[in-house]
Amino acid sequence: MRDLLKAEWQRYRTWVLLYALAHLLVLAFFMRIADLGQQPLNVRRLFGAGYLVTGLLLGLHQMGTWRRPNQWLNLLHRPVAPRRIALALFAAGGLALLVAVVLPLFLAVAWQAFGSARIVDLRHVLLPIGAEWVALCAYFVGVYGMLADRHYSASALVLLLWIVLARASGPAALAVQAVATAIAFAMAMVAFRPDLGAPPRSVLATCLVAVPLQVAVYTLILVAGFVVEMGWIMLGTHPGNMPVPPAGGVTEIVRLSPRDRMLAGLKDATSPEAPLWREQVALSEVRTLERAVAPTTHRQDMSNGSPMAFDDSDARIQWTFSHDRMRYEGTSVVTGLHVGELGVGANDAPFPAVATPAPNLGHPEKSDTIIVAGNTLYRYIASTKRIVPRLALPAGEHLLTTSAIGGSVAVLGDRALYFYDSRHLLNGDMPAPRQRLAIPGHNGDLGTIEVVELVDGYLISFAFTAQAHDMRGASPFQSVWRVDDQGHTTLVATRTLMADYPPVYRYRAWWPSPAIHALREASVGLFATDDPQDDNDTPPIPSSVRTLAFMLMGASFLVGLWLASRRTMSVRTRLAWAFVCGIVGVPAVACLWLMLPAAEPEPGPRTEPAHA
Amino acid sequence: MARTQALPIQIATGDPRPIGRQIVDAVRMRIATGELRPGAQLPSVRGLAQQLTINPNTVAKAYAELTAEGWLESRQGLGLYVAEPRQRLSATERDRRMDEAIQSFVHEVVALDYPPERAMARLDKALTVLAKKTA
Amino acid sequence: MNDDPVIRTVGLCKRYGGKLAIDHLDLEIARGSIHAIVGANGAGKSTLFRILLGFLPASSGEAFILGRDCRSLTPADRERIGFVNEEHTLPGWMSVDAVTAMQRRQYRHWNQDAFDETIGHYNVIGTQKVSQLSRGERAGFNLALTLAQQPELLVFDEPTLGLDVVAKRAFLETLLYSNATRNCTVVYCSHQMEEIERVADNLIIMERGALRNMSPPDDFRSRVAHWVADIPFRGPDLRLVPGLLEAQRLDGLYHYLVLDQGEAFADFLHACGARDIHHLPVSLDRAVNGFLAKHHATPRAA
Repeated sequence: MRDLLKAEWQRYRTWVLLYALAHLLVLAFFMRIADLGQQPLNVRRLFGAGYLVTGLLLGLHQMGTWRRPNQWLNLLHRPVAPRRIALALFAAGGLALLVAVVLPLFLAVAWQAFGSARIVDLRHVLLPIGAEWVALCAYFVGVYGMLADRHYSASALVLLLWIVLARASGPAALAVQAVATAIAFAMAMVAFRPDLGAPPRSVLATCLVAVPLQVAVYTLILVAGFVVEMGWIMLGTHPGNMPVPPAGGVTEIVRLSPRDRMLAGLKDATSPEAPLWREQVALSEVRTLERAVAPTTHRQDMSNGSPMAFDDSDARIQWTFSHDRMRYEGTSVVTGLHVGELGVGANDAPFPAVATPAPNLGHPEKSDTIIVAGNTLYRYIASTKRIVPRLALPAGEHLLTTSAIGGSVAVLGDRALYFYDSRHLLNGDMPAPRQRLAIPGHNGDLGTIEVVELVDGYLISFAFTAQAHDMRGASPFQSVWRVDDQGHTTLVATRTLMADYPPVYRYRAWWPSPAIHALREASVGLFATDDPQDDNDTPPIPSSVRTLAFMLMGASFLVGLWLASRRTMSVRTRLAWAFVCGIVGVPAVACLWLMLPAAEPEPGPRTEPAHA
Repeated sequence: MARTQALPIQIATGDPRPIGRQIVDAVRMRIATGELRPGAQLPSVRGLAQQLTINPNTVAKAYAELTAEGWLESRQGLGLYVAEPRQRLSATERDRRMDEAIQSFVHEVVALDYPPERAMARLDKALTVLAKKTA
Repeated sequence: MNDDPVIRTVGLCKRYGGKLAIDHLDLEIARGSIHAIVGANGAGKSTLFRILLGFLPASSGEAFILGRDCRSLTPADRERIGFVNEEHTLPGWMSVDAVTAMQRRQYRHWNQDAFDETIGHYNVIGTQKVSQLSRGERAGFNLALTLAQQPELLVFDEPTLGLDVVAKRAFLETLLYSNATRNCTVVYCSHQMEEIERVADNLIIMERGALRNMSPPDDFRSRVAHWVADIPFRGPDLRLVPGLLEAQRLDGLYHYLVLDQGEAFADFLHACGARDIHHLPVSLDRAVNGFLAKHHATPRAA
């Protein structure tokens, strides 16, 4: 086995070393022009895609050369078990990726840590490991793509899709990648056999081939749905793209100006003050609060959801947040040297959560910076180089966004909207909120919030439209509230909005296969911490959609039974397949059809050529 | 004791005669013309096979046939030797082969348009040479 | 050593799409000696070898090699079977020495003498990269590697294809006279009738995935005869000619290549009004080609 590993390594050695060198040069170049440790998700994705393609191509090339019939025979016809040969070749591939992908990355991290004043946290040391998982998983996907039956060998790509879509972040993401890689490895081992492309023999091997294949078919169904949607758009009847959206629907509300949106919410208001409010809305400034698009950043997340650094332009210092220290580390913009550490208050205490600079709330000192961490809003005071807390939401809530409205500051948490007196805020005495209005729905459904300042309080409109096109989100509605100066809250009007999209569209991810949809939700959310911004009030599935799904499952059971009866297998296996087709639905039927060739008509007695 | 004598024969693949037949014919011819004298040792099975690049089994079979017909004799543990001449064929078989030989000779000679006397004279001369050699 | 056949198939079928590449093949190859397998392109020889070595699942029927079901060959079984294909596939990026060292460690019964003896016929230097070897040298190297494994069964799939005369001769000499092949059953697949005539103890003819002949080459040759007849009027209807392989009319004479007819064929020709009848023996090449060409024959109405 060692011989094979050595031989295979020798085959790729030159190319691997060249790749590693090129990789190192690229990293060195980018490290000169930017801090690679502080990049947003999309930069990470770009690098990750590069490693993914590298692994995929290596797997495809390596097995592509071996799998030609004579090469394959020569490789496997020797007194070494195929499994050991596979391990030797895979070890060579893994070693190649280690040298080409991971080694340069570790060198780069080492340079950041020891050769520069830049921040190096645990998350940066974990990055090369993530890169190795991604590359290795893609490698096994490539191996499987070459060795498995070509009718379905591309199905392993769903593992890469999983890595891309998984919600877990930081070390948890590494765990997801490790699981995906382990599955890809097991699939590659199953495919690595003398009789390439023959159906797997054991139950475990069958599952390893069938489950990704079924998920792949499910994904293809979703893609087909997307193509249908394109056609729908071209027809001009897609609600999202109609010149005039359906009246009273989500699309209409989203397209309206903030003022009109507020007026639309007031349309059904029956309060005696309603006509007056309508006039005031027409005359006043309508402020919009929108939730941040980026997900909440957790400690040791690999990429920065939002920038982690801010500049003190007077002192020429760049402060960068360290996940390890939970404090800001300063680097002189002039000398590039480390100039100190910045925590909360006079004793530089660590932040309780990952801190991100937020937009300034309109105050004179321009080098000052607002920082948000967890439920607390801080302020960096440039003159004293101190960070002091300014306001805190109740413990356990998350501060999402702020907006100055008149003499107040509106602060949106994940559970309620608060109003603070901005004078108190500047003085720094941690004021209590003047008003609190609980969000009348689930945070994840929230589209926009409109706020209008009245003489004696505020008029607030919540539009719950964020996930209306999807089965996750609540049925869309708009809710208008009034908060007075004493802090009393009253519901002014609630308006149910039309979903615009028919259920068959909104539940398109569910009805093709409820079982795979459940698997998808479970795997995408594997090891992920719940994001407070993703809390939806998911309504029950409508009975019409359920009926459709059950009909499909029933039909799949019958087709599965028929397909199974045309294949050479035991009665028990046949029933098991039909049962799986019934549970999983259409993807299992396609899987059965692709994986197991139909039994050939029994070749009749040999046709004797007419030798006279 | 004679040393192994070279057997300078050729075989041709693609010939209507099997390789074994070609060897038998060639050895018989060489014995008949006196190129191989009684007592001469033949190459070993393996040696001849290697010389001709053929399967040793083929040579073994040819030698076996020659031995059975009395052209060769095996000496225990020493190898194969050309046997002393003796009549190896039945009278009828001899007659038949003679007829065959004359037939094919006549066919050939007719085409050459020689007068029979000249043909006879030439034949007589050739047979005299043969007689001398085998003597 | 036992007397079980080294290769045995029972009702073996392999279907590609609608075509039967192996058609109810019942084959038994006895232990010992050199067996040549001949067949036209697409006769199913390579498919058969791939099934026998467990690289292709059969559609139906059974196949055994050295007594073991071909679908469940263990590494120990593979050690006993040497296989050489026409491409002589070897890792081109490795040196001759490195490949040799790897094989030596993998095969328990490695015989260095057999390797040295065989490789001695070829001008191969240990430090050379395999990709730098000529085709003949690669074939020799491959043969040396295979013989040094001391297999019980050696399977050759057109090993001399594309080799020049010298390399071909060296290859055959090693195969025939090496000590390493003494106790070995050789299955030899080739299109080169000249080689088969020199080498084979047993001639196996396959046609369209089925077994057509299994006998010593000379026995097969004697089954085929070439008759030339002068028939003044129309020749017999070709469908009535017994055992016909090939029919030709050249310069007014009728040529028939027939199978398994004996002298009785002369009577048939006489009955058809033939005047002058000649019976010619045929070469192995002609016999096999006539046999295989039978189904391609385009009998022109005589």
